[in-house]
Amino acid sequence: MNELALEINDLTVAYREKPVLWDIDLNVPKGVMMAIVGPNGAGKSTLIKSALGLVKPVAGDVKIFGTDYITQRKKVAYVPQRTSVDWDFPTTVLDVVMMGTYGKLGWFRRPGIKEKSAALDALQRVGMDSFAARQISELSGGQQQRTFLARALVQDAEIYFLDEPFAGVDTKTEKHIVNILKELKSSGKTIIAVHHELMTVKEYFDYIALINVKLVNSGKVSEIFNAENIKLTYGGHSNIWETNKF
Amino acid sequence: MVEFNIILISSFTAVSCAIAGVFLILRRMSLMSDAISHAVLPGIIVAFLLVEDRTSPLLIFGAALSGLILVYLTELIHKTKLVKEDAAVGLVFPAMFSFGVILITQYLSSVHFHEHSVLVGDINLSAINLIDIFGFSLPKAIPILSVVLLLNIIFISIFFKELKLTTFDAGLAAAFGFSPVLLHYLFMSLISITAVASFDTAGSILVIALMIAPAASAYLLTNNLTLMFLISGIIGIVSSVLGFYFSFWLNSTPSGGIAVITGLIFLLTYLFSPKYGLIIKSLKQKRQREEFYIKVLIMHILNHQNTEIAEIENQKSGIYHHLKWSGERAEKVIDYCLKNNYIFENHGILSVSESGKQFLNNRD
Amino acid sequence: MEDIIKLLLTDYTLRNVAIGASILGLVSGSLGTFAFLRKESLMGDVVAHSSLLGITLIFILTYLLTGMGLKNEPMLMLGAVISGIIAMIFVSKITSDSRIKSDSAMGIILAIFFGGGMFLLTMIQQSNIENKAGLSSYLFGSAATISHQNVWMMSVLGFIAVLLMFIFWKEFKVHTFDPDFGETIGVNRKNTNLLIISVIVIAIVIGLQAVGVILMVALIVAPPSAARQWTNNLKIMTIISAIIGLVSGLIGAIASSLVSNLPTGPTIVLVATFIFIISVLFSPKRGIISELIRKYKDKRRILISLALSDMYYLEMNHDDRMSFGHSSKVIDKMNPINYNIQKSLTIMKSEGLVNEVAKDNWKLTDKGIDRAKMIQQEKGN
Repeated sequence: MNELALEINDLTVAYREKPVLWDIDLNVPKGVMMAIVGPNGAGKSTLIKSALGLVKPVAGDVKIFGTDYITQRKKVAYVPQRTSVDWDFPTTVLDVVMMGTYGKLGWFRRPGIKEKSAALDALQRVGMDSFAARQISELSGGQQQRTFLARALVQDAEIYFLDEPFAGVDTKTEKHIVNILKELKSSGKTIIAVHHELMTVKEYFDYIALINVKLVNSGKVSEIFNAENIKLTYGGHSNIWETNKF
Repeated sequence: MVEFNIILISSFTAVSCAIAGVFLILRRMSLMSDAISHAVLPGIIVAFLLVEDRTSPLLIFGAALSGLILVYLTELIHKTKLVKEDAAVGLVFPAMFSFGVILITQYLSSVHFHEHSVLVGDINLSAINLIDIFGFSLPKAIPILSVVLLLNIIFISIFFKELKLTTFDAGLAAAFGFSPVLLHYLFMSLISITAVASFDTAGSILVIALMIAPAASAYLLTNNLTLMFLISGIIGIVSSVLGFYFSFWLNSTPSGGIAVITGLIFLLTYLFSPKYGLIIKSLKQKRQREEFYIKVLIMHILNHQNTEIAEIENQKSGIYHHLKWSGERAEKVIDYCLKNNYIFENHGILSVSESGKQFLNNRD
Repeated sequence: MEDIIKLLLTDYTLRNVAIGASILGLVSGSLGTFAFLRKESLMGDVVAHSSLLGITLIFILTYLLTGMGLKNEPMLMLGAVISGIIAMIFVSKITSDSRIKSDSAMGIILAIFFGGGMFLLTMIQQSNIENKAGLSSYLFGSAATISHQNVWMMSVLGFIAVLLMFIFWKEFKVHTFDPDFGETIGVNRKNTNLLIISVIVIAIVIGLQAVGVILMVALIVAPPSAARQWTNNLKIMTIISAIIGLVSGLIGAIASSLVSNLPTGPTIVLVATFIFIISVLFSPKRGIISELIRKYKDKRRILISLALSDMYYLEMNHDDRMSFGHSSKVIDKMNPINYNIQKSLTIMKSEGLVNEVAKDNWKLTDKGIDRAKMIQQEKGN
């Protein structure tokens, strides 16, 4: 575990000169499953988005497997928040999953038989193979989430970023998704997910980053996921500077 | 005298539209002015075909009805969830307007209406069409326009509280028992009536321009809702006067001229408004950004001082590399912080002073 | 009909009109799909209105430079494209740099650009510049003014726009559906956005001469709105939308050339709107009528299962069920809600669930009993 999958150095992100993330240093070793945990407005989604180059930092940088995002793009998969798209878009489940192959196809080339069978495989893994031809507006929340996960699986990446993968899905789907993520982890992939439910952190993840605009702490769940750190992250500190380590 | 009458008519129109426009833009329905000013056409034409009198108040009634039909059809289509709201509007008003234009060309070609005048109105004609009121010879349009202006003022004063509430928190308004839907229809009727009364003289472009631009300019100047009405009305009048002379000078349509002037006034407020203008904002932003860079630097040093990697992270000559800043920016920010004693240097390693910590805490 | 075809083959003007209108419908229909899905239908309205300023400005500039009115339509189209794109840029600048919301920004830009355009147009018309007559056709559209040169220009521009859509299909699709995801796989948000806007502007400008600046929005909105009802597949939707655009353009333009005093733009718009209404009403998947039928059938099914249960209950509680059935009145009394028992019984009979053993005496068949048992079981679960 000497190689770092994700390396965030001194990252500061601001919207209209208001800091959303403050000087974050975060290292994520290869092959772990990390939860990003923190209260609402703590900058969890922003952290993922800046790792993916979707948000420009004011200071600092992000490295994926040692270099910048653009050169590593094909090793990265992204599962956005389910609610970020219009599910009334005229397309089918299979077609959405096929979008996962576009990155590797590059410009001009169209998806063919190879891409289609990869998409069908991914759908089978998430238990949605019988929904391939289904119009996406007819899906339940859990099915939408599994469709997005299948799209990420098709990307066949080394590192997976998931933004609230369990938001608004039923328990059965949640367990299913966790199992798939654990499978990925056991085959050496790295998983980083924004997570809301503190109760399940221990069960699902082995690494954790606690953030509230600033990084409160990060490391193995077994070592740092304790009452004190949770209180530091969520506790009634109106002034974020007080949570400083020194 | 004609000049005076034109300015009088357009000022009356301007104030009515500018007042109606304030809630229109706050309710984020600006483009309804475009849709309504087009959609009232078939109502006017049908009413005219029935009474054959261009000055009949029935025309205004027809127009208001037409406006309501637009609102109703749009909501009807939107409610089926088959298309989104923007598309629903974009479907209904062109169809209604097309219907109106075809009615004109088939039944009224060359008589009283001309498609062209629908767009720019015919303010010159209105200005010479006079009527005697209390011994004064005034344009015939003035009585109608005064009624509409009065209607606007009365409606908005009566429903001020309700409009405000439904605009900013429709859910709460409904909980209090004000029906947002009813108010929406009432308000849209007011917009239709205002649009049609102005239609004859101003044409549809000017209705759109006068409803949106003065109110939007006022929105850039003040946060006070009452003041917004006042400013919006004044901008409307100023635009009318300037716009008239502008078009008189270049021998063109007053409607187009006034529309252009409202746009220019908006541009001026957009750039120079002391509160929300582009220039003041970019100055403020520049200052904020500089202050923010200082904070980022202090924060960075603070995070790493007293840790084992402080010598790497907080080295004065290497800090730009960690923050991914240009050497020039880093130097400027470091110099400023050193000068103000926010940070101090010890063998090339930077540390944060007490006043630096205070700077972070105080000015969040 | 034969006459029209003969005319199309022989009449030079009508042929130009037909080809021009088909191209404009085809292009605006296919690219309108993306405007529709991006929820930017009203942007089309702003672009169309705004292009009048570009058209009139170019006309005046050429007059000032050459002393002659411009009859070179490609230049006018270029002016329209430029002012359309500038208007869009202004709208997004105002929205991002100030507290003005996008609807107001669109309204202001529309009013200024269109008002300015009308201002210049009136100026031109009151002057004595030659060739000025053609300009006013840009307001409501005039198919009759479409020349051979126009058709050629429309084809080239339309071909470019559709070709770009075809080449970047994958990118357009993923960007429209999920721009963030697109960005992470290398579909640059800013560039793709600009490209999509540009091709939509081109599509709008192509139609201006025939449909006019005021009504062009309808040709961007109506065909895709109609097409959306018939399919859940983006590719097919684009093709259907293009066909609807083509048909509307063609019918509208030919009708207005043949009927005197019928303005082209409004006619095309009404044809397109008519197709939309038909689609919304009659589409088998999403249409209003099929939805109503579905609802009616659902309701009927529930009522029938109620009636079945009630009859089953009646027959089970009269141990001599072999001997007689029950009258509709008795069955009706079983349930407090009015479930139109006569109608239900007729349907049930046609499905072989009940028999009318004597006049108004109804009895469950074996099939009916099985079905009733099934319903009981479902209820139990």
